[in-house]
Amino acid sequence: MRKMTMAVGLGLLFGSLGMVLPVAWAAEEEIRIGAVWGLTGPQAGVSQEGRRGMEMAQDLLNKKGVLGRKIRVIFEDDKADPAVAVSAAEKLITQDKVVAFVGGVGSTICNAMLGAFEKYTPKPLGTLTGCGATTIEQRFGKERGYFFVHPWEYYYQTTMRDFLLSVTPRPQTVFIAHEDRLYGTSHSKMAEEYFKEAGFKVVARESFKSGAPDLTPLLTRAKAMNPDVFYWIAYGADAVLVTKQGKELNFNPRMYASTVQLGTQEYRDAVGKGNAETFVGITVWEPIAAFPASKEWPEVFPSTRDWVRDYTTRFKREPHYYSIMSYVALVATAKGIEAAGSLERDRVLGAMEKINTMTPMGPLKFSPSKFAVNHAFKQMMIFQWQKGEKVLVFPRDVASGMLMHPFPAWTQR
Amino acid sequence: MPLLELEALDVCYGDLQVIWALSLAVERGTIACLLGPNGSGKSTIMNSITGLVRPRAGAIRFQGERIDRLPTYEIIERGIAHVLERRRVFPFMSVLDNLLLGSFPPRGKAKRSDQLARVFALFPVLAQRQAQLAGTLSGGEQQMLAIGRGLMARPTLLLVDEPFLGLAPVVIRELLDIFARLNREEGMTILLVEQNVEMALGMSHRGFVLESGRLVIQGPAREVLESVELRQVFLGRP
Amino acid sequence: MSLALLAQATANGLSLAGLYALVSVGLTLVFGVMRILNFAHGEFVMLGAYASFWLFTLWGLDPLASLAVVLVLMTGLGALIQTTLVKRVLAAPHLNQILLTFGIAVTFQNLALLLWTGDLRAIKVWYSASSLTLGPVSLSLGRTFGIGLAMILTGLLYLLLFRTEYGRALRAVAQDPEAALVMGIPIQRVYILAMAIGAAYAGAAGVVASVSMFTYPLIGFLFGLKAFCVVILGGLGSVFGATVASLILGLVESFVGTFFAQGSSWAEAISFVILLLVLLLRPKGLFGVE
Repeated sequence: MRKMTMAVGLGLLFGSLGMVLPVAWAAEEEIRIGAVWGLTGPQAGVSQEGRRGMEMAQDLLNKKGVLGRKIRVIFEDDKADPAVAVSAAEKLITQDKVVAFVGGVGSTICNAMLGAFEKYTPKPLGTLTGCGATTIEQRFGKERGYFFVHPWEYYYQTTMRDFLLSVTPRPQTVFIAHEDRLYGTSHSKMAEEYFKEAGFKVVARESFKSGAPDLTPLLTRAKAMNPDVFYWIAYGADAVLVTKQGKELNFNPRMYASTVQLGTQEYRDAVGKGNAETFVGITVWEPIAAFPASKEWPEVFPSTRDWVRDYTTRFKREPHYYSIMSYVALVATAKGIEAAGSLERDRVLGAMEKINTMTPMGPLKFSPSKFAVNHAFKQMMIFQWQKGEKVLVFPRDVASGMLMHPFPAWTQR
Repeated sequence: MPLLELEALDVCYGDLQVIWALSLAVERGTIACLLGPNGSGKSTIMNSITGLVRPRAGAIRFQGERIDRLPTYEIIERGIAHVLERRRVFPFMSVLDNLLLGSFPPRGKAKRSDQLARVFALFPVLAQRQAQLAGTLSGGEQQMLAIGRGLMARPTLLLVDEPFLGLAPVVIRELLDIFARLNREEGMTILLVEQNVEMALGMSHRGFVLESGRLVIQGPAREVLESVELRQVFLGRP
Repeated sequence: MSLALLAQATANGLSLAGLYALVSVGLTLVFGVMRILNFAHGEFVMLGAYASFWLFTLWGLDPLASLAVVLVLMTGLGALIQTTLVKRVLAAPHLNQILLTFGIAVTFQNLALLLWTGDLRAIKVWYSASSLTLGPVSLSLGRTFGIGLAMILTGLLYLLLFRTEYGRALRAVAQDPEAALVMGIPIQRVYILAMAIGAAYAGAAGVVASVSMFTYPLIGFLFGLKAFCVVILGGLGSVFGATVASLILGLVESFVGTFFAQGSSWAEAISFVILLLVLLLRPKGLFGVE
């Protein structure tokens, strides 16, 4: 009887050790990835999209593991505040000892974070989704360890310019409004320059405070100038206000155009399908794009259609381009680590530079841009809201529908 | 049964005890005065009666019932009006609004117009200045307003804290007359805090003298006035 | 500068002023009566906006109808916060009061984030982005509803303050709480009343915001900051001052934004400059008394 008790006791002891040990081991051995997003505040919409993409990638990668370990993404909220972002990033480096940074949104944030990275040797690795400002490309592009997957702003504005040139009847005058921080200011300067070169008349380039509760003064001012195109570069909350208040003021340019923030489901839901109708935005990617599965890694890079189906099944909502960009960024980083066979920085970045594959977002290959060493995804598209859905209208070879132009007056809708 | 009775009252501000085992009684229909040098605790006693300060120990009874745990508004509703030191009229409100505030308690509100007429009869100047902001009145008028405001609640007991401070002799005489009339014509009980010993005792039936938070003399006003101890308290010599 | 533009700018400014007034009269009332700066005031706006959003989304309740529900809910919330929390710090040092109200604000923000995510929410009813055209001027129905509501509610507040027994009591407490006590005024009830009105009015502003703008968990900061500007400009504790200051800031922001290049970017800064100038010349604000 006593022997039996002892056997049971020992069994329990070893059993419990056996259960505890591997878990503790795994926690120690997990590959930590830092992710700083503006999960609350003015950037919350896009940030949550990005977060979902990373979570999906993390779970998929962890089915097989990377180098026999689990990937763990540590999310931090920067509240769209550069100072908060810097301290979050420093916490991730010093306390969590992350292998790389993946994701992020906002050039102001990116600029501050990469600035803070300068004091570390070697600098942290990053697959960066939130850096689109050319100033960032000029300042940090030469760093081999930064893999930029967000198009530089000139790609936006050249795309928008080419699109406007393709529109018939061709618009003559453009009113550019922009939020008054780094993102809006640098994009709008570039837009003005490219538009003027192409022969458009930029009637004004005006700044405003992002997140302000009232844009009627700006819109009233724009309405008085009667431009063909009202083009604004700002964030999601501002897009909702421009739409609602533009309608309230019965401001009828021939075209309302904006950039990426116009493409969120959040925007459409906040203003309503009818009010978003014919609004035009720039996009890096849309779920209606039709890229095939990757030959090399079909299990993580299926065709666009399959990926979108998996994402929609899981999150019960359409993916945003930030969802897939951050998904691809995390998978690319993991594949780099896998190919390098270690977590050693230089080997990982070497392996990432060799990646050349198809992804549901399009072909992925890091190559030099104007100033940067490693940049991927250089093609951009124009979408238009039609009956509550986004339709790709430019460039023509990827277009999924016809542009509706000009914008029907609010009173005739 | 006295109208107001304080029994073995201890009052403290934080750790500092300012009233020590004080007992006194005010009979219905009398005028009584609380005397004592600066800082002897006169206002503190008045404030504990209306609950602005809560005693640490002891009891306060009004018409035979304990009131020392009641909220101030219930104490007022039972029939005590408190005219605070330095008048404390509401400066940015009209004279009329000040008076109407005095009849905020239900007991005053029920007879509001009668009381208003009575106050205007006592202080005709307030009737003339009804619409004026209280802050623009002269010191004497403000004191009249403060007293009139107290009367609006139809009190049984009127507590008045230093009503004559800084007033001209002619105004003081007028107020003395008012107190006497209230007592005589309405049988109102009045408890008065005053620095001017002779004047206070001259108008009162009974006097209480405080020194450093303790009651040292009490008795009929005339006796207190003539007592040797009074001189000791105020002049520090026999 | 055409007349039409001038009229439109005035209309825009007035509707902004209405929103500002709804938010700030409550804040100034609470300060006037209790001498407490309520840093959670903006969060009342946020909660009102979410209440209106969810009443509409879950039960299809029109914001015009849910306004009544929101007013009741927010009155209750204000009373609850007063009796359970704020009451305890009334005699405490200012720092404790600030910490408490700030803590309440952060709690509400995080609660909203947890319960309702960081997504922007807005109500879409037929009048939410529609407008009334008066000649060259477009009057947004949602925002006009805001002006109307601000006028009605501010009017009611004036009636309460200057025509009722409790209103007179409230003014008395604001001027001299101790004297008010010995008038037989139940001062704790007056405090509850003030906080309840403050919360309800801010909640009403939230309803307007949910229709004519949007809401998200941190939107309270936006309104809170503006309300503080308004209240300081108007004079701490002065309801009339807050009304006038709302008009000034609303109109100035609208005119600067409409008539000057880059004006929308500068409007806020110019509001602060006005605030500073007024404070330099009149440290107690336009209609402050102390």
